[in-house]
Amino acid sequence: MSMAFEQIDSEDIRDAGVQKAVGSLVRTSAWGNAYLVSVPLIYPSGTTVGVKVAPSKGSYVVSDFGLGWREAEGYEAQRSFGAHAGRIKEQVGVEYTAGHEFQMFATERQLASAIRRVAYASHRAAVKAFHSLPEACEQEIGAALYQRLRDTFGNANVTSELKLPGASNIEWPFAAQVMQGKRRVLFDVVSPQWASVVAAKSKFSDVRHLGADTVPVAVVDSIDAMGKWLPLISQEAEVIEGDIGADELRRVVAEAA
Amino acid sequence: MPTPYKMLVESDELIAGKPTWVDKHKDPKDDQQRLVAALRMGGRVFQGLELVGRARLGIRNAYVSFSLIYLPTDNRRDAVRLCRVDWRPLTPHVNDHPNTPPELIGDIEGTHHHAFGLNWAAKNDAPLKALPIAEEISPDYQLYAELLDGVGDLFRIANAASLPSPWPEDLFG
Repeated sequence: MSMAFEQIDSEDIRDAGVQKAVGSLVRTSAWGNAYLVSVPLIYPSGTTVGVKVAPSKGSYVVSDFGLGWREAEGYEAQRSFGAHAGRIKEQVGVEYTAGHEFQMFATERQLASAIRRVAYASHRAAVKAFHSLPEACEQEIGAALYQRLRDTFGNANVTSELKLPGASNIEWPFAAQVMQGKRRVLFDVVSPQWASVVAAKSKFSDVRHLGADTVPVAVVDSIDAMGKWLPLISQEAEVIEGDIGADELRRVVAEAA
Repeated sequence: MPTPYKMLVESDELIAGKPTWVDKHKDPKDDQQRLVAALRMGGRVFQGLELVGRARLGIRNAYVSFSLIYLPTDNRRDAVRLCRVDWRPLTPHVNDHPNTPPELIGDIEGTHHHAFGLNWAAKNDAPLKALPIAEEISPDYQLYAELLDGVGDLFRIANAASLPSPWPEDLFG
């Protein structure tokens, strides 16, 4: 027996559960002469993506009403949202206003497409901003590693959260330092993001110019997760994972060059 | 030592100083308002702990959020979001994060609380970074003053009611 899907209206859905779920995917609220349409996309915080549609002189102004911006503000990622928005508006073909709204003008014929595009752009910028945040567990590598370094090399030889001027005289922050005679091994935490990797590469290179006794080591949460960034960072420094064992840590401090 | 986030959320706090709502816009159409309050614990202002409020001038008595965030001293680390209340959001909240307790799965149409405990990720020793899990606040706050009382209770800030309103005084109530 063959079965074809037959197009039906949502009120003709006989299964109550399916009808309820379908009805909840797109919802509309009225606001003066404008409408707020919530679409089946969810920002990372769980807020539904919504698009404001305002009739204006025979056409429509469609905007995300700043919902994406507010979402990014919720995780203090406004700057990142703005940077991604600048790129995404080109790809999607919408405007990004000085008031932080994705916006598009549409005729009646273009309206559904405009709602989809504005919703997509807003969602995408917020998701990108969200993923550019470091994971909390990466943030804590520094503290855990510091403890292991102290256990392994003795409190007197280990300093944490220090600043060191490189050969350029620019001061760079490092998570930890181990002194072994004249040898200074500097540890810093790197996560698989542009900002983290590029900053680490600069600081590692700068302190390397201090001479062969100064050795930087990159600490990552997972070597595999560094992906495309790994070769860039390993040009300048040995790369270890934050949960490296004591024996291996001794070897790194003794041998890293 | 990991940051004692739980202690920060469970301590009694007081708003320090007289925070105000600020707009920082270049565009006159942008009506976003933001309030930042430092918090006192006993005799000291706790480093990095802030209450952040958000509202829009053009949306009266709705679309307000208050969050408790912690900014580590190490500026390479990101702000840690501890909990948030969303008062009358413009679109519904959906609980579909895998950590959501079964009884909370689904949509919340109105005011809700992204509670610290619901979003705690033991694996990371920190809350989930977007605080994706929320519980409904019912009955809803009918007035901004009730929202402030709610923030006071939920975030343990005894003088939250002293916060100013983001909107100019409305003589018609």
